Amino acid sequence: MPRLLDVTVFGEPAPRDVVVGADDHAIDARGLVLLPSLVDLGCDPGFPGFPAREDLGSLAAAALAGGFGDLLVSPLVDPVVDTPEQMASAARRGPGGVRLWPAGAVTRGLLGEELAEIGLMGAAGAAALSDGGRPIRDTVVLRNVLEYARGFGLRVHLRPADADLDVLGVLHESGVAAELGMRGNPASAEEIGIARIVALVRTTRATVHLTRIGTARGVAAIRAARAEGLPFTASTAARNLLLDETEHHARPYDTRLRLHPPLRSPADRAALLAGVRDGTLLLTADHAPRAPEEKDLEFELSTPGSTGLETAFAAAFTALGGDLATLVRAFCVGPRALLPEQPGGCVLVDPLATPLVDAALHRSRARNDALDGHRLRGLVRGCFPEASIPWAGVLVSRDATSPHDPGGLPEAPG
Amino acid sequence: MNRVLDGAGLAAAVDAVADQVMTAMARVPRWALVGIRAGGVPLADRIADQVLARTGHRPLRGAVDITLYRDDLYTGLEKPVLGDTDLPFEVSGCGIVLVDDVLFTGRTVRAAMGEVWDFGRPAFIRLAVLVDRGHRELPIAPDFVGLTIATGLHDKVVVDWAGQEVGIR
Amino acid sequence: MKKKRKDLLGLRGVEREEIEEILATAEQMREISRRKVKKVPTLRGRTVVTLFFENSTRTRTSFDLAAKRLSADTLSFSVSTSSTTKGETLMDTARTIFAMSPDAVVVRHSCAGAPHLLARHFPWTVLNAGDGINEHPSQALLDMLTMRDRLGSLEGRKVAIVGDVQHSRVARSNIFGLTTMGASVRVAGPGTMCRSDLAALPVEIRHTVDDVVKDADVIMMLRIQRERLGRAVLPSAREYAAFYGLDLERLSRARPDVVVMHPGPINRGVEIAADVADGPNSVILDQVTNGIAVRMALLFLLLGNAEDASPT
Repeated sequence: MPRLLDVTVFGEPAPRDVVVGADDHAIDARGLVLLPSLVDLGCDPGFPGFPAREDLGSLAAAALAGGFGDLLVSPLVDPVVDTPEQMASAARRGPGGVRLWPAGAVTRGLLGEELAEIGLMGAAGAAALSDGGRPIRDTVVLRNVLEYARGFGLRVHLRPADADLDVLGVLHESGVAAELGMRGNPASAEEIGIARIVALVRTTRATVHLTRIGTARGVAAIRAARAEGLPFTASTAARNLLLDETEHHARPYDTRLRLHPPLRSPADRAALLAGVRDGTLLLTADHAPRAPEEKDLEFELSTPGSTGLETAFAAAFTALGGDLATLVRAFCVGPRALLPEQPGGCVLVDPLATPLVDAALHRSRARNDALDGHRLRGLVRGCFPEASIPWAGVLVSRDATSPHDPGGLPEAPG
Repeated sequence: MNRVLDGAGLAAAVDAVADQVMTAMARVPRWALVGIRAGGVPLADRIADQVLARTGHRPLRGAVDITLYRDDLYTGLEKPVLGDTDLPFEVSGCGIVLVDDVLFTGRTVRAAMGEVWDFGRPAFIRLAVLVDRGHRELPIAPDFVGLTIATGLHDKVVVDWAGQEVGIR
Repeated sequence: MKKKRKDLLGLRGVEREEIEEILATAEQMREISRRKVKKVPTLRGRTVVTLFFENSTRTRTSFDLAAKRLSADTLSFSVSTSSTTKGETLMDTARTIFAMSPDAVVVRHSCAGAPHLLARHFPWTVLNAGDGINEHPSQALLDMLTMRDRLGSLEGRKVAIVGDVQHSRVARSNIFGLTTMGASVRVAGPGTMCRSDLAALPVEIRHTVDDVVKDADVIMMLRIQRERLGRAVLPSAREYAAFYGLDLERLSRARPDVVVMHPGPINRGVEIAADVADGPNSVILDQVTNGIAVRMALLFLLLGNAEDASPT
């Protein structure tokens, strides 16, 4: 087994030699930083069912390129993963050792009407339950989902939104939407969605993970719910720390920026960043590959979603100003705790690189990265999902910032 | 600028054109002076003044802007500012004297004839110019001329009504 | 044009000088429509396609006639929304049209940004004839031309826009154009049609019609488009007429020489009373005449500005 020499973790020598793979060559990692590999809790690759978006090979290649060892996969595929048979046949491992953790649909067909076979899917290996990003309109159904899922010990991933307000428009409802002449999706859609779930969790005590958080009031509501001791975790996409609705001014009607929920205001973005820093929010890649025929359309008609695996690390690293301790907690250790097993895996990153995102060069089959064309900081140099390192003891200090925090990295040139 | 006519020469040339026009139109029952924008309009004005002074009758007057009839509009040139086209009389059956300051390739006159035609069927069209500088590219000839001069193909002939001179640049 | 603009997608961001040039050119174009032969050879041999994904007889006819008066060949392409949902995308339709080598394409579409998509991908001139709730620039230009006829300069003028401002591309293009030209715009309408996010636009938002009408130089009434409205936006036509419609009584509180406009088609008795629409303050028919002139001006000014415009 090869050995990685001169491993540096937060500026200190590694506690022991680290085995990073099964290949018969050593990696010169001088100047690089070794971190736990990342987890995407928001992976929506669209296969099986949408071969033009992604396949297992391209998904795994994108994950490795982006530093991800583990992907929690949305049940929103064709057909929806809502039976134990589909759950049993769902892919668990991709090339390069990338682990896939399939989530089962909370309702049949994700229609929000009837409960899916939650217990049987759990027995067939569901890593979690999920609404696939489609909010459940009927509050009685939602309550039943939470009551029922609790009995099987499965965490329920829900995108909080009022189902009616959620489909009003395609941009954040604000001045930018008004200027560009597009209908808005109001922040209140998310606020109402969170309030509804919080109220139900208070009585059902189900374990819930809230996905795709985008608003300042949403972050505050989740912070309050956690402070109250409710079993909540929540996440936002790494790109949401870098992009906000003002990006639409620079790239009007660019369908790569068609996201759902939409990019919110600069103030919301600041609140998301604060939420990640104080531990209220975890990060996801929110990887949603879309085929050209889903994106070469009118903005309103294009399919929402952006790829994320290959830019999420750099997006988070850039937005967090090089704060690796926060990044590791929000993107590696925190999300790992939500998986049924504690996986290993590590990633080598170059904190000084300043890559220019070029989606044409991505390993994902899709080219729809919202960050395409942006100059970011931090580059993944290698990903080793099967390497085992006792991360929890090494990397994460109790405080938000490590005493060896390498924050204040030199400014990116140019 | 190389001066071709001074103030007195310019006045004499205008007189010459006006004389020719009046002689030719003497028996025509209904005719009009139509200046081609922009250079033809001041000349048409002066001819009209002379007609009024000498006959006591003000001739019918009009102006055409030939921009929309040009054959070189979409060749990458700046689009010219549109001027008025104003033919405030019945064109059909009327004799038209087109007036321009300088006659060069003939393309402007061709465009102007086309434009006049869109207003009706004139009895005839004649052409009055102050300066014929040669280099015709179309079978077009002036009926009334103030002055004929030889020019180089790339020269620019300038009629300066304010400064009272004609020159070659 | 100064910037050699290839397309006109909206009036947001268009400079005053350019609007002046378009309006001045349109003023000259009006003369052609008064001729016996209402046609000039300017665009002979050029092809103007009207590509409409929404029905609109007026705008399409106006563009069509404008192109014809400039001697362009015109081609109408109607795509019903149902057939797009059946499969052919906007880009596929555009590729079909591309094969007909048009010089300009006039697009109307229910989605904001659809003309922008075509302008980005194809070499021809794109004229936005209305995209979703975004913009309808030629309508605003003809409105401004009509206002200038009555008022002279637009500088310092007060324009009231009443109705469904939230979902009106006519209102939005007028707001952008008028404020660029130095006029001020006040809007009024029911709360569901004049929400607070409009504050991002250079307008003053009021909720009673009397508030915006009283010292306005121009009152522009917007059409109530029931088909575009969602649920529970308006209780009834008569309630709208009672609070937001322009009748003689409400008009009497405006300046006596106020100019009354409406982009048409009119819902008589809803947003505007018949005696107001046909009254002396109304310039609704001038708007139609000016529409042809403005569209002639746009075709004249924009064509040939595309990078690989074919040489003559």
